[in-house]
Amino acid sequence: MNNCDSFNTNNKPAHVSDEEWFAIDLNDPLMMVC
Amino acid sequence: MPSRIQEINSSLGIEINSINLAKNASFSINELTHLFAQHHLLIIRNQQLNEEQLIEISRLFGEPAPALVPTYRLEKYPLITRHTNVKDNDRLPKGVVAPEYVFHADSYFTSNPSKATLFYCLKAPTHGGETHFVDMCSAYDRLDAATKSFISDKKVSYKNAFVNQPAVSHPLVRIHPITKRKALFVNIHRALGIDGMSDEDAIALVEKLYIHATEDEYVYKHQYRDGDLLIWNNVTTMHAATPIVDSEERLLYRILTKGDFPVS
Repeated sequence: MNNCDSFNTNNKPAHVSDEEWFAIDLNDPLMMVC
Repeated sequence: MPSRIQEINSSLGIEINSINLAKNASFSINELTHLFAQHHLLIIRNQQLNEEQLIEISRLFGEPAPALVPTYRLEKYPLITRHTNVKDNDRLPKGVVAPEYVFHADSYFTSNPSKATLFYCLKAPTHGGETHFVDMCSAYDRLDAATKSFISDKKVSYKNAFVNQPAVSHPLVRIHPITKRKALFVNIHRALGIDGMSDEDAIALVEKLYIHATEDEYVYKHQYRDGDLLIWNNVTTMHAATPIVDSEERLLYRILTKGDFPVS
């Protein structure tokens, strides 16, 4: 398991708005650690 | 240099012992900002901090800002992001797990990359889950004169962290705002090109500089202990996380502070 599994458009946390979620590049796992 | 402060890995950083930031009794907390100006990485051992204290300390190093990705921000303290391999009942991580061993400066692919990162270890594994660091001032100093001259005015464009936004462009050489030392600022990941160069030549140069900066003999490898507080300068360092086995638990809190627009 790594962020490639957890960092995708299917697990947007409920408290996060669509606007904020889809503004970032969801295709790059490195985004999470940066 | 006081005996409770030891240099690590030559010029990269210092380890500070026998201070208690929660009580702020045995050490001038303002001295931390002075030390941060002189060193790229501070390792402060044996701290016991709550979330509010950690946020308060972060303010010494800039204005704290939430992580780009909101997934693992603490609900009550959104300036803090949880990094952990511990999983929930659905077997999904409860925090950030580094996806791969990639050296980077935090948020380098935004227009104003983070100035400082605070990384506080609540639960350290016995092995793995390390953070490795390189000193980008030293990396610049090791370049030959011709390369220093050639890259002095070059800017690398990177794919923006935000979708539908233009690429961000950062100088290959940044100046430490206080010491005025020059630091390489480069990453091969998400690099798109360099103005005035063909894409092929630009990417070859970026890759060459990135490999140069991250040669293993210049890497400081930090194995965490419970209570470690690391504070690093994203202008003058890059870091990378090593994998962790699932049988070990690792839990850290991270805060980023806002940076300036990079200048050369």
